[in-house]
Amino acid sequence: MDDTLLRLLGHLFVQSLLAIGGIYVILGELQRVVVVENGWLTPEDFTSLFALAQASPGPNTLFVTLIGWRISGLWGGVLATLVFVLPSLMLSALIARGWTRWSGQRWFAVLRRGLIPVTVGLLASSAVLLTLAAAVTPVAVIVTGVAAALSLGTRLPPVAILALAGVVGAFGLI
Amino acid sequence: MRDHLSDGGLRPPLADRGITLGALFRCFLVIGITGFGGVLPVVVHEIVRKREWLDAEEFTEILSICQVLPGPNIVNISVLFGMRVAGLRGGLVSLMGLLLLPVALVLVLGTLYSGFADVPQVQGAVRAVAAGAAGLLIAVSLRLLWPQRRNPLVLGLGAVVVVAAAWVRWPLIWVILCFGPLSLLLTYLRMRRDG
Repeated sequence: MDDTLLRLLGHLFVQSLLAIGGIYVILGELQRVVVVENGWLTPEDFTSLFALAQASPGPNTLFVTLIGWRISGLWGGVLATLVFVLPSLMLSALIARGWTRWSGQRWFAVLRRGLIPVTVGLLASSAVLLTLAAAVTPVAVIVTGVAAALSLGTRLPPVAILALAGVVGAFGLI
Repeated sequence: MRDHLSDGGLRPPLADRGITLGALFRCFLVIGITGFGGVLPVVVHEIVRKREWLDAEEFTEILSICQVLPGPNIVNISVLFGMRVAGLRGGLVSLMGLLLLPVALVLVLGTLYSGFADVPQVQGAVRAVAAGAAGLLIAVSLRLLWPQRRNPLVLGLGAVVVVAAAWVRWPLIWVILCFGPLSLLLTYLRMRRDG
């Protein structure tokens, strides 16, 4: 394992602990480390790898897989993914173990229910921000609206709805 | 406040809902390979709507905890949910189901992508999928909000969070550090008042 990969893995481990709420929070920091400070990737590489991670199936965590892959090849990608999910794996495991034991206790009930307002608010915020970023043409607004309506009104799986959207876009309508 | 929530309420504990390791793996495999541009809508579709392993409120509880844990939410959800269903094995099976195929796929795509990034059809499709993904997130927000529609705390504080996060554009960490404790305090006071 080369030195660059080791240093990348160290950064990813630490940043994983900072990524409260998901990978979007650490994008700036990730770019600083990978592009500006160490020059492991060009800015264009960074952006296109992020777009690719978003366009492919699976969690956005895959961006980290692609960064590792671009810097150190196949095993770089696999190891980057593992190191990035390790801290959250351990913390979630800890909470899952306590869940049943703590479930009768008042502080745990407060913890579980007390964050629901923030969760619902953050979710709605993401929906607003993503809509503002994506629904930039009249057709895109319609695509967003129809996708929301189809999801609420039918039992179509999300992937079918996105496939429909993709076909609309591939015909150059957007 | 009603008390029918997970583990000890009206529904049996997660471990007793007849979910096998194989079913868990298949569920997260589907979530992994059909989740484009954000996995949350697929998680809600597969776990809450299709399989009914959790109701919307139980899911929101799990999501709330996972949101304040570091790391990708969906990874936290898969491990937390899997472990509550079948212990450590359940957690690992869920995580493997979630990551295995997408990691392999994204590496293949990465190799192919450089050749197709400039094709207009590909660019158009990517833009349209992003617009559709925004619509799916709107639907998920409404679906998780619905069980809370008579809860003034969720409506009020939720609206404040939207203003702070989406309009003022506070960094997420500030939103959580500022409104998390406030939300916990108000919930505690409300639960104490209601007994």
